[in-house]
Amino acid sequence: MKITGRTWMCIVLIALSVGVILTARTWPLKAAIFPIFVAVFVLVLAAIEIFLALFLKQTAKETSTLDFKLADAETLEIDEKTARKRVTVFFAWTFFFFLLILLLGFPLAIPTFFIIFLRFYGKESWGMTILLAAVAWGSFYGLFIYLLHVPFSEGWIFTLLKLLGLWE
Amino acid sequence: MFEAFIDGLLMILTWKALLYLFLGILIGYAVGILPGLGGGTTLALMLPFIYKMTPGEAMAFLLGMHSVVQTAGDITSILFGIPGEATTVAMIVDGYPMSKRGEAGRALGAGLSASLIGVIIGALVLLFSVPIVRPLVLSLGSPEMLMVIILGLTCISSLSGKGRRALLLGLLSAGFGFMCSLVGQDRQAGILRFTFGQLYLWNGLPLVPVMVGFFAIPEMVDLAVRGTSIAGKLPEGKLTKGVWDGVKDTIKHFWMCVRCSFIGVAIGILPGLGGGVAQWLAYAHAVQSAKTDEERAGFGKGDVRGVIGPGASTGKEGGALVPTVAFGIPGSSAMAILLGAFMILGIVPGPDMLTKYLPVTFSMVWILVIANIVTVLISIPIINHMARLTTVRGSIMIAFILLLCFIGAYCENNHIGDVIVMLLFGFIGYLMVLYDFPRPPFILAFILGKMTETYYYISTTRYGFDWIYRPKVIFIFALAVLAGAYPFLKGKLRSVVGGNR
Repeated sequence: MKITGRTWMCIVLIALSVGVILTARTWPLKAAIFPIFVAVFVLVLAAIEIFLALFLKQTAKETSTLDFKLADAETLEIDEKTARKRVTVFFAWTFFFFLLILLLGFPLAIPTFFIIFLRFYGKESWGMTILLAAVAWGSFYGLFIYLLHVPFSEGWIFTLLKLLGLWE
Repeated sequence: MFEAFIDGLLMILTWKALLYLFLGILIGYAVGILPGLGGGTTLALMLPFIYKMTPGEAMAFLLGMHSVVQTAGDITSILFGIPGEATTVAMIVDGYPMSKRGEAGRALGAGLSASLIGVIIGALVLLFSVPIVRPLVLSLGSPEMLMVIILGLTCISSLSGKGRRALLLGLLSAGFGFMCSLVGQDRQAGILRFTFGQLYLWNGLPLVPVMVGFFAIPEMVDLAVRGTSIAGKLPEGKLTKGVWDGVKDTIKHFWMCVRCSFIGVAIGILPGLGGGVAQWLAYAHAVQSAKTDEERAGFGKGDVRGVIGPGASTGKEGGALVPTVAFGIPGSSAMAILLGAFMILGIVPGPDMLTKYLPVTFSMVWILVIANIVTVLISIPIINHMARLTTVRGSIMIAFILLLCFIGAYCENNHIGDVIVMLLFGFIGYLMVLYDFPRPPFILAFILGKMTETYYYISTTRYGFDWIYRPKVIFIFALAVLAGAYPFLKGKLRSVVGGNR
């Protein structure tokens, strides 16, 4: 009996459903009835899925979906550990970009991210890195700031500097 | 009537109207290609510019812009696996795997040609159906609309997997989608549900960031793991040769394309269901059209029918115009904005559109057709160059796609919360792909969640539980049960047919 990632996801869904039911009990009936119905529905289905996964033999065909498939390590001829490492590295870079946006704001975060990412992750030459960073920043600035006037919030660093009176 | 039809054409054949039409197409094309910039939002932004235009010019500008947004959005979905528009998500499922296989040109050719057929069919429906559709639309109440949603979800759930467990996993995924749609202020009692004290969540989880994260992040994880370009290590020549093959594929599957166009038209006519639903149901029908399990197994891995079906759903544009023009009931949010444009121009939708303003109504038919023909004609010569983008190094693509995701998500509400939602749902989407949970039912349920609850509430308040016994409700529910039972019955039906032979 092996607990797979899918079973864990079902357990999380059951926990969420229980949370929804317990929270919805305190609401007026007209606001609570649909959430409770949905939560009970999910809870029952997740429980059935867990039962089937634990006690019935499942074939690969039975569990596959008609959706996009991630390339598996075997097909790519790399080991599982490398594949996992690449996934972690990708999410770390994504989070880093997000952090830059929070700290510097979009206009500065974009060229900064492009330069660091392309140089160190993509191993591009300095010339190519700077060119692509300029293209990204130029397109961003031209379309979203100059043409569409989208109000981008400033980064936390600048807000802090303003509060300290070090930036106008 | 024929005279009005020709007058409608003449209205847009003036140099000013044509200029506005081309300007609209250009804006629509850019908006469609860029993720996060929604067609509806852009339509709203353009309303102040129509005050000094004649009705013909304004329609050419607005409708020309709106009608090419989905076609252009399909291009982004196919090439980069990011929904260019909220309504073009279904195109990713098979379009992007085709790009990865080096068949971006073929996928684009098929998608664009199917889209053109869809729009033409939608325009023809608009032309002929106003007197026929009126009684049908007006006879559907909230209980029937609720059942239509349940039917759509059951179809997509049962068709989103290969085995008998597909329905279970699909419905589970849909249930999770419904749960996510619960976030925000409840429409009936005004209760704040799962907002965790955040003003940002009062309006619920924003649609675009959820979809961008849900679909783009898993694709980028894949790109990062593979460490190659989108098209992998394929020879470049293969990419640029498939456009006409794609067009031929559409001709080969012409009747499926027509059926999917009519699905688009039907969803367009039904108020409130929207373009995303039309694409998914058209996709579900394309999957259903597979004759064997082996054929069906190819869907999700780059079956060209999975591109043709959603592409043809553009018939919804013509369909959505029917209730908007004839009864003033907008078929989608974009149509609601277009309704606002009618008001600005002093046109009252309803009987006037079929008498006094009949040439304006017919001009819409012409605009839909001309705008999309122009879009396809513009696109075909540059498709090959677009397809080459799939050979750009993975790291460069990741940087640019991440940028598009972050900006696309942020532009929904100009709030950093949108970016957080995008990242969160990106991770959830990745887990769902990793553990074989189908994503389409989730998205459909998420889009329709609030509407489902409203229909349910209205039905119960107005009819108690007697609405369950309404004949149309029973009929649509029976269809839903059949759709759910389809994976179980299919094998038995085949063995019966095989045995008889």
